[in-house]
Amino acid sequence: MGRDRFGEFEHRVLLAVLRLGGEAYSVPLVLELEERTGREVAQSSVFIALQRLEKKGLLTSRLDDHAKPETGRVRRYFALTEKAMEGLRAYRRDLVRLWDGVAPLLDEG
Amino acid sequence: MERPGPLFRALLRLRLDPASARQLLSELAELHEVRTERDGLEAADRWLRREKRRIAWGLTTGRLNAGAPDRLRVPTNVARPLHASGLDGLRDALTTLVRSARSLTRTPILASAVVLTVGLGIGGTTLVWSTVHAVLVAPLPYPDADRVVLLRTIRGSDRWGTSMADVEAVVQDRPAAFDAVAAYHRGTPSVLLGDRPELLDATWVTAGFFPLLGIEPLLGRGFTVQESRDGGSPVVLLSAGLWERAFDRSPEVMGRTVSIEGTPHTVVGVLPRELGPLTNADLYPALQVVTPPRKGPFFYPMLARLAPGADAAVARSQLADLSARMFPRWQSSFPTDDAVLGFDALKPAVVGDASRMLPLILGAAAFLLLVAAANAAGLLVARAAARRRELAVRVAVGASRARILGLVFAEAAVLALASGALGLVLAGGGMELLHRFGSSRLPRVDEVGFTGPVAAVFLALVVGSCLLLGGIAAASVLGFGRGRSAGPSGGSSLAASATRTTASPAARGLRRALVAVQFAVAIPLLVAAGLLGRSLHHIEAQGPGFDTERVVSMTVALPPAGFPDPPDIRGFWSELLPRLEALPGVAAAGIADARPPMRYGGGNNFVLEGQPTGAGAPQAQSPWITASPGFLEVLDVGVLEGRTFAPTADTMRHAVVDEAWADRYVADGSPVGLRFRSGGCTIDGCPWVEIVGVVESVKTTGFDHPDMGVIYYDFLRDSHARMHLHLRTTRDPMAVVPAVRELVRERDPAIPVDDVRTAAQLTDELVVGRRTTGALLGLLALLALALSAVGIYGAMATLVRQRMRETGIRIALGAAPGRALGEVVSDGLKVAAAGTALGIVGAVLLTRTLGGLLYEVTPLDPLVFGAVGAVTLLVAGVATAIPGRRAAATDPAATLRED
Repeated sequence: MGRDRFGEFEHRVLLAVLRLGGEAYSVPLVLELEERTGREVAQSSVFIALQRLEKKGLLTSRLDDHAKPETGRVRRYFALTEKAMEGLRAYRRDLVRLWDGVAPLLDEG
Repeated sequence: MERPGPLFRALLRLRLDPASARQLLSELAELHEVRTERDGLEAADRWLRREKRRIAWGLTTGRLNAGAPDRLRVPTNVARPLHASGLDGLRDALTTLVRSARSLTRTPILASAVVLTVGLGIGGTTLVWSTVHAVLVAPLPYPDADRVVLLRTIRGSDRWGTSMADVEAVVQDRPAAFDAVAAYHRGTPSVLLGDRPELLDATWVTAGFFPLLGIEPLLGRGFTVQESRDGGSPVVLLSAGLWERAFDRSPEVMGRTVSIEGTPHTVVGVLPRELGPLTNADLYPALQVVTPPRKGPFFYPMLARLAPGADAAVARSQLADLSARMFPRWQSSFPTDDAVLGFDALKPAVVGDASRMLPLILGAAAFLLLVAAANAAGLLVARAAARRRELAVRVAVGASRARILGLVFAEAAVLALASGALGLVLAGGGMELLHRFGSSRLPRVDEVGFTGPVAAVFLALVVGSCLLLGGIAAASVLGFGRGRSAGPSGGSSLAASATRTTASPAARGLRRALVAVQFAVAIPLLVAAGLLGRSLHHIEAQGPGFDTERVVSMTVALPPAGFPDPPDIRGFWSELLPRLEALPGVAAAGIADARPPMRYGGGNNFVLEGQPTGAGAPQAQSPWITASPGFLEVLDVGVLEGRTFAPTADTMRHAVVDEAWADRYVADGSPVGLRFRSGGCTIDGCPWVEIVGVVESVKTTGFDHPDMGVIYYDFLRDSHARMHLHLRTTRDPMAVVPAVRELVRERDPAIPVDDVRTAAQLTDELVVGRRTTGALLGLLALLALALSAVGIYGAMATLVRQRMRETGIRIALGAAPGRALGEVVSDGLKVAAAGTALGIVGAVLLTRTLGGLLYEVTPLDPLVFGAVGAVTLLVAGVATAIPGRRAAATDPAATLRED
């Protein structure tokens, strides 16, 4: 499985899901991404990315109906698949190799 | 608190499956809660509005679905930092401006109409203001110009020039309040440059003239005090133009000789090109201050500069004292003891008639700008009405009222900037034309340009246009909400108004008010143009008092060298006249020192026998024209009593007076046989002059001054070296000119024959200023009326379009089609009538300022007012009848089918 199965933003969304324990819905994902990157993240972008990742088989989802009677909220939780995990490992491997020895050139040590 | 509105929800349901739509709305609400808690309600609302815009954009462009590319590409605000910086505001503003410009390109006709009308108004007003500023407002371009004054002879409310006697006194005994004085005298002497003499413009000046004005010669030097004294060497300064034309800009010109009126003058210097507005001659001989034989004539203007810190009242008092000291010396020729030397500001003398005409043109241009702006605003109101749905969608997806107003003002700003750019080009082009062709019509034209005050007014006009256009469009947008249907949920009334088929009453009322304003502003312009036009018509109908067809005149100046004594001069004219009369094509020939109807400046004072003037009182004065009998024949002036001049051995001097003189000075009986003494000569031994005839009057004072009466004096008694030949011909008058030149050249090649003009040309020149002003005003007025007609047409056409369904139904139910036409026309006429009535009131108040420009027409001339009112209503009627006919031609079946 290669890196080309998902783009940059999808990669970030998958990482955010991983950070949140492997399963999350879009609200905490948005907040997590904003906290980690320091920039506002469009909720609609996360919404559509999750849908596409599910379509690619990198996420599975389930609708949480329990939330409904108490809060009136509808939450769809997304979880990483094994395919997603393999993809993330490959992505990281490629990036580490590419970054090897290059960091000093950016004066970032 | 911000919420997704019904339209937004409808959009979600339209583009997403129900579950996804519910999920998205739930997540939006939850995130909004979190952000409210974290960042505050205001920030959370702002975020929600942004998010709704992104989603709406995504749903509309089809990008918010599973098949869309990786990133949801949203204009500008994705990856926005959590804490916005000031630069984002600027970026937002620029983006809004660019978007507004793009939006306007989708309605090119409307945008062009607005830019063209407002641009014309801004350009015209800027051009006229730059002219007014340069000519009337800006100080004269001389150092310490506010301290330079023009000396005058003042008696009560009368003012006239200064004489050589005054020059001599002031130069020799300069009042302490002045630190510099200078005199000058204008003329057109005969100058020999090549092998042919020419008549050139010359200004004789004293030594202090150019230093007083702060002008240094380009080459050589100025005059010395010695050269300005009696007996000083004849020297001359050349203008830059003459130096270039006649001497090829040669630096060797110094020391060369130029013959002026037969007297050789040595060139001592060349002046720079920029001499300011006071003088524009070809050459400047030194004026020698000599003791004259009598007080007059008053043809020697004087400039004086007040010393720093000098008090004007003290200066006036010192001049009055000087006058008192001078009086006994000149009493015999000037017994008026209460006429004293005084001074006036220099600028009015330089600016002349422009001070009357220019403010009028400026007012007219400003009025036209108002009409153009009102017209453009009306177009924008219509555009706002057409954008109701779009604006409603914006509000539905979260745009605040401030955002909507921002969009409206952004469009107005783009239009104002484009209009300003067009106005700048037009104003610049107009200034270029003025520089090239305007110097003969207006003084100080070379000073017209984009100076600070002009740029300030230009910017104010652009900003004002933006605010006016934006304000009116915004008012109409906000006014949409105050309609009948406010929506069941009490939500955005703008959203509710999106479904309305007619404009709100507020928008309609605003548009009608704008149309009425246009008519109200156009009316005073039309009335002013009508009044000036009528004045011009009276002047032209009255004419110069003689038949100008086939009459030509030219100037001949005898050089003193060849004609040193009066008998030589008389001999020349006496010989020339019969030879002129014998030329083929010449019906009559005469000589005079005047050229009717041009304003004749020569005059003389006189005392009628048996009617002495009181001690210290001024003598009567009349224009005094030296002429041959043939001159009156050329003008075809009828003899009313007595006769004209005839050769006679009688030693008595003879004069002929005109009808205006007789009415003025002879209450009873005939003037024939009366005698007078002239020229201030009142003692025994002074010659008497006898009046031998009375002739019909002709214009000798131009068209703006009343006839004062004329005394014609036999030229054989009093010939001058410079006279005008007058010929009445049997064919084209210009055809005889070569033969006249040949006759004069045969006698003496050094005599110039110059300034050939027909009587028709002379008459035209007198009215050209009025004609230009009248034409310009007329053009502006017609433009204003045309804009108003277009405005009312547009408003009525929109109304007809909006009421098409209702009209169709009424016709289907049996109403006569003609009734629809009648209703539209009467509706439009009510608006036009209201504007016209207001305009008439404005015109009544404003036309009284025209008083001095009118000729035999009152400022409230009923014919002009009536005609303007009638024409305006007629034009409005026609402009409304066009859409009215469309209403009457409504096909009810087609209209109902569209439902």
